[in-house]
Amino acid sequence: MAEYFAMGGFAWFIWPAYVVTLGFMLGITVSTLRGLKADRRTLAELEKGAPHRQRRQAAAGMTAAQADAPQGVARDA
Amino acid sequence: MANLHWLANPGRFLRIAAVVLPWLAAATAVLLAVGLWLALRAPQDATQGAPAKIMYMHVPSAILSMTIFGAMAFASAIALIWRHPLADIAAKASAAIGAGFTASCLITGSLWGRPSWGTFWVWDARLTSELILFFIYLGYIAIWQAIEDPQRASRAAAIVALAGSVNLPIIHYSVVWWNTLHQPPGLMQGRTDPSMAVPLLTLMGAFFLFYVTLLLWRMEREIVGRKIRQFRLLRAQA
Amino acid sequence: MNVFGAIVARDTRLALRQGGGSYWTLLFFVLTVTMFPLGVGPDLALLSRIGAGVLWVTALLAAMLSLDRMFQADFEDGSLELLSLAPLPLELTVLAKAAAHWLTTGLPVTVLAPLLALMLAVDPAAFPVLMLAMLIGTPILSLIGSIGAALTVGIRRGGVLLSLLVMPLYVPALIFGVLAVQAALDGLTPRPHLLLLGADFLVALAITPWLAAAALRLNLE
Repeated sequence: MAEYFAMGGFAWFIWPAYVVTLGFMLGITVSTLRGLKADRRTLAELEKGAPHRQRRQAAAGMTAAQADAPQGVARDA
Repeated sequence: MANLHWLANPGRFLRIAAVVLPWLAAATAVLLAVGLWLALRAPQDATQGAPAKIMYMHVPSAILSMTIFGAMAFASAIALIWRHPLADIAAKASAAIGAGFTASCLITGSLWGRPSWGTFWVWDARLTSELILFFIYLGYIAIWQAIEDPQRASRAAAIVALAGSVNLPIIHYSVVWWNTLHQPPGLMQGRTDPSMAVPLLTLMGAFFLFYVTLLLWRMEREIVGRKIRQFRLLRAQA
Repeated sequence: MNVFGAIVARDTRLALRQGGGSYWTLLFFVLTVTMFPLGVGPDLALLSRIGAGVLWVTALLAAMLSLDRMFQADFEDGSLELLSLAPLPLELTVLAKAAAHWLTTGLPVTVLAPLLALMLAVDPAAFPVLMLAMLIGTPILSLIGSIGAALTVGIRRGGVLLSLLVMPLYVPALIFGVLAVQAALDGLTPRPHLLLLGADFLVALAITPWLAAAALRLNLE
């Protein structure tokens, strides 16, 4: 077992390669999911406090994000 | 094109993503575990010895780094031409994953280079192109950060991605051309043994599934983030 | 075409005017090249080997340093908005501005290059190839640079970001340009490198005006 992990003397090159790649994959997954969770909570709080009309406008603004005319905000003004 | 527009509705996208994501995540985890198991017990490469085990991390990272940039450029073109509302979100969500795999490819490459070349870095054609690809990823991410308004940022970033994708083949070709005239050795010479091909292909599949899974999560996060921004704008207006 | 020529003439005049920046760019080019022998030592054999690379990298930096003035001033005083309403398509306006940028940076750098190459102990036999390569290669720097300049025109302190965006795209011009000179120094034919450099120029010429114009439009909205 110890011999396997020594990798014929190359352990210091092989295992860091695995740690770096898999560590990046794990790290970015955890940070994405954490951020997603936090953002969902923030959005839920905003939606709870907002009147229905505003909620629809926020969603519409999202969908029409690419439209040329400024959306939502302009209609509200 | 009809399918593209059908998917353009973020609400519908989120509903589909919610159904697909658990399965995708599970498949990724299983395939990754199987691939790692196969890779770690695969026989050692006859000519390169134990360091060739780094290949199982290096090669999938390299392939993903390029595939993701291709996907980003494709999404950027769609965002720029058809103003498809999800395309620029997909491109933005891809960038960090692609940059990470590029960095991982560079680091594993230099860890592999040390036992095979005797130095951590050689100006090998593939490593050099990969380094420049990394710089292009950083530029793409920087332009998203530099422009605050997401609509304008998305179009500017799409232009960066398109300019990069047009130039990348030329850059790669020029680096190969430069490199063959200077003649240093490359990693991975000779053919890959079939006993190594199976774990390698499994891991490539796993890395690819990982990208798709993470992409969907990151897109969802971006959509939620933009809704929050919209809410705050409305609130400030009121 | 008249409008095109007028823009080229106007921008060239503005850059050449006192304080217009063109002279400073050239001075920067000369100064930076001078730093290399001071940095690596006065060994003429070493200098002659790295000379072509030093000249090209410095030309690249000089071109990049002056890119921000391509659209910035016109953007700030509103004349860019007027230009975008002119009968000339914005793509051609961009091309005219890139041409003016080349006339005031790339061309003088090309003219100065042999003088500096002499100081770097590069064999004078390679000078014609050096100048020809720079003549083909420096327009690429202005063309690709116009995309970066257009993208960062509305960004405060966009200069560093501009170089970050543009520098990776300069790699092919740098490689082919240096290899052409190197081939001439080694007594080989520089032809394939010059042809590849020419191909890179044509690609840049075909693509950059569209992307740069798209970037300008988004900043003008």
